[in-house]
Amino acid sequence: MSAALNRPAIRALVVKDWQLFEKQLAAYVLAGIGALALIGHAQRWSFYVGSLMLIIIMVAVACFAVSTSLLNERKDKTLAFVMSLPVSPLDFYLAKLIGNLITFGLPFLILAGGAVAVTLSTPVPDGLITLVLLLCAHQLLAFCLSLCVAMQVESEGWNIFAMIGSSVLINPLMAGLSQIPDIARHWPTNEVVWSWQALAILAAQLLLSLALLGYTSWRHLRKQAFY
Amino acid sequence: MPLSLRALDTLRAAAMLAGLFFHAALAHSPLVQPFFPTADASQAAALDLLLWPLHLVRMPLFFVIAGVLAARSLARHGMAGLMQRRARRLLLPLLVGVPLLHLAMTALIQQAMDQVQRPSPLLRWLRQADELSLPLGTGHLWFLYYLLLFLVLLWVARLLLPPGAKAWLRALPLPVWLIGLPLLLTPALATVSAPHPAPEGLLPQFWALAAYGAYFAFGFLFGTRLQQLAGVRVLALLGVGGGLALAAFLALLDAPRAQAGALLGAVSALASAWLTLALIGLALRTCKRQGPLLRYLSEASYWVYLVHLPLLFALQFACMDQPWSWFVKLPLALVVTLGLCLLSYELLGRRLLGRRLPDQARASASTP
Repeated sequence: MSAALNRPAIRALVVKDWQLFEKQLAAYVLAGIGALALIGHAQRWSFYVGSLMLIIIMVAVACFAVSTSLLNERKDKTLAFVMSLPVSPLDFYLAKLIGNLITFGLPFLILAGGAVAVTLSTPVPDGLITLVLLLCAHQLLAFCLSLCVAMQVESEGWNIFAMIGSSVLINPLMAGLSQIPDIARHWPTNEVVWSWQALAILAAQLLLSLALLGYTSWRHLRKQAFY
Repeated sequence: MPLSLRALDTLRAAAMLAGLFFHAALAHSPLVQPFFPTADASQAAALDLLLWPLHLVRMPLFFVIAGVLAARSLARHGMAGLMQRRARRLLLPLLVGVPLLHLAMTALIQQAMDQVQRPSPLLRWLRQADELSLPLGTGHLWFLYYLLLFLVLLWVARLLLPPGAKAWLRALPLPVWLIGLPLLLTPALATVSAPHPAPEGLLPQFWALAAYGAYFAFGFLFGTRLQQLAGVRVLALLGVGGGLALAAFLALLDAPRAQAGALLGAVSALASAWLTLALIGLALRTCKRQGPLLRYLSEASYWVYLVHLPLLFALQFACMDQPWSWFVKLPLALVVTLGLCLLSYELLGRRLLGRRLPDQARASASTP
């Protein structure tokens, strides 16, 4: 498979996506640093505003990466141009996958790292780290689901549904987690306890994210044409 | 290496080594005795007259020089090249250093709590707690974290600022900086404790972003015109103005304050900004040559700064029970720590940080 890949073209397509979305990414990163600084300001109001900003930015980044690089390009009919390039459908798919993972991954890692730092280095109880990481993993899963749908389904309606639906599920997830005593009872304490339930949910989120990416890749490996 | 870079390199090395002196001397400063872990029984009020002025200019110097060198590296290697170089030079030491430092400091303080007979007030207080749990932070490596943040913000600014704004910022004349820097610094320093703390937390602090960011921005935007600071009139103005502000700062700083307030914040800002720029001007005027010893110290100073604190603390804890005067303990701590740091540089640091780079490349290397 690797011999058939046009690596320079894949690289060029990834760089193209990066350059197109760099400005918006920079704005997200700036907002993310602002949110973390607000949380670090150690005032009650700034903590809530910062935390809210952080969640909004994470959701926005996940939607932004998918909608700009896949849905908007589809609407702008850039595929016809891409088909004129010396790239195979697999090259194009890999370029989109890598580009999206970078566009989402860079701010996601900064924000997730910041959220962990908030929990461990402020008076916020350390026990909340399980909730923080489960919410971050949910956001990762939501992104993978949106990406998977965007790469397989052309309908804009379904894509919007997948993006909003997966992101909004963060509320029932929080509510559900708070109903599991072995997870929730450690949140107000300074002890970090990874119960088997928390580990199972985290593992399921990560494995499902990987499975979604794997399934999409498998589908694209079988594709002979761009459509 | 161009003369101006040689002068900045010497200044950077001096500031790094001044950091070693600063941390060593804090053990004998009456001002921080209640809350410094290695605070010794032998105190010297006179040291405070040296320490706190140093505190106002030491880190600002790093950030100005880092800004100058970031601009040069950006012009030469582009943003990707700059990021790649800084990741190797700043991010790696930060990622490796922070956990190691945390473990070392926890172990050292735990041992001191168990063994020291004449403990510092902080050690005594920690003994009363059931369990030692130091908050996770960047320690004295905070400057690496902030330099990385400033590089990210530089990337953001390059993308989001309109070209007109960038050109306007680059063309700001020296008098605007001389007035603007203290104005930017005053609210930042007024809202934190006095003497201002080190922003060691894992989350970015607004005051540190504003204060040190202003110095970094000055170095980045004004770096090619730094020679203007070496003029006699400018130097005299900065020296007199900064000196007066410093005198006011020392007069007002009779005890540590939870919040500096507007007046102390303003005089700290004036003294910090003007004396930092005066030192740069003075270095550009006087540091024409770099002898072999100075070159070696300059080369090793980054490593020395990275590794000195655990060694220094170990030594100061070990000497805490000795009935010696600060006059003996301080030079002893300085000489032994510096010796051990240089030895470790020869054995390990030189290999880890890379051999001495050719002058041209070295000039563009990161030098926090």
